[in-house]
Amino acid sequence: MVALIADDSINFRRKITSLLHDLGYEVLQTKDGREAIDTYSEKRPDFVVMDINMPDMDGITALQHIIKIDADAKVIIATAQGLQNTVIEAFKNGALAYLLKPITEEKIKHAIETIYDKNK
Amino acid sequence: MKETVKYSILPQAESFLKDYLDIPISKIEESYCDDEFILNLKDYNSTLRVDGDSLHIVVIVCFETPLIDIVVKNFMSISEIDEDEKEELYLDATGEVMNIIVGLSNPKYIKKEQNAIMNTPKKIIGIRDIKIKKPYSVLQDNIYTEFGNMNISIIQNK
Repeated sequence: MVALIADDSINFRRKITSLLHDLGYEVLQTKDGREAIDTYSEKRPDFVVMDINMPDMDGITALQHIIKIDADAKVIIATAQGLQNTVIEAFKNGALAYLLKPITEEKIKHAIETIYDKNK
Repeated sequence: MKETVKYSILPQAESFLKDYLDIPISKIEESYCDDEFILNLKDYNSTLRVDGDSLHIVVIVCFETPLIDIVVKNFMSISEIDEDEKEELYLDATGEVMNIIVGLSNPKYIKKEQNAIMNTPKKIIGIRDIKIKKPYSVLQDNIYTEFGNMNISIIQNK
């Protein structure tokens, strides 16, 4: 299975890539919302882990575009923002799970289980 | 300085270092200034704004090189960093650490109706200090570890 990561932090991308590799996933890395949309269109990964707070194009806007491309896209929002408004906005726009930074293997496993449970 | 801001962000910084990155803290010095203040930057520095209705704060995080080095290593669970990647990883980590600290603190001091937005962290490059004047106040935690020091400063309109 293939995961697409969108996050402007190289440290975060490497950390989550390492965790996902350990869990047996292939990983495509992108550093902003626009790259994520392009890569999603081209590669159609199994799920996306999308940061909300990115320069150029934020994660919510990118999420909206991805859902337009594929209404069944499985998107996990990853953010350090515990703000209720932000989380609600992400779910309203089609996110299926929420991953609060800093990430751990347990958190990412739980988020992946959540997106597949919701699609049963 | 609103106490709720103080008691949200600064403990989160300490907790992130100790509990997530496993970096013991040897000493913390707190200072507060509501007059002219010179904020001396360190080797790697980032800033971030949180804006909402009746809420405007700026947070600045500064790291000495040996400490940001161990932060990156512990964050990514690695023992070595390639020499040609150090600069990029250190700068990025300074912003990402602040992003996590401020982001996790937000629910503790921001009310839903304030419609607050947390902006993306900005790297501070090419300057050594920042002069802060009235009507702004600065609350600063200087955090000492065996690897080096960092400080986190909250700047807010009194």
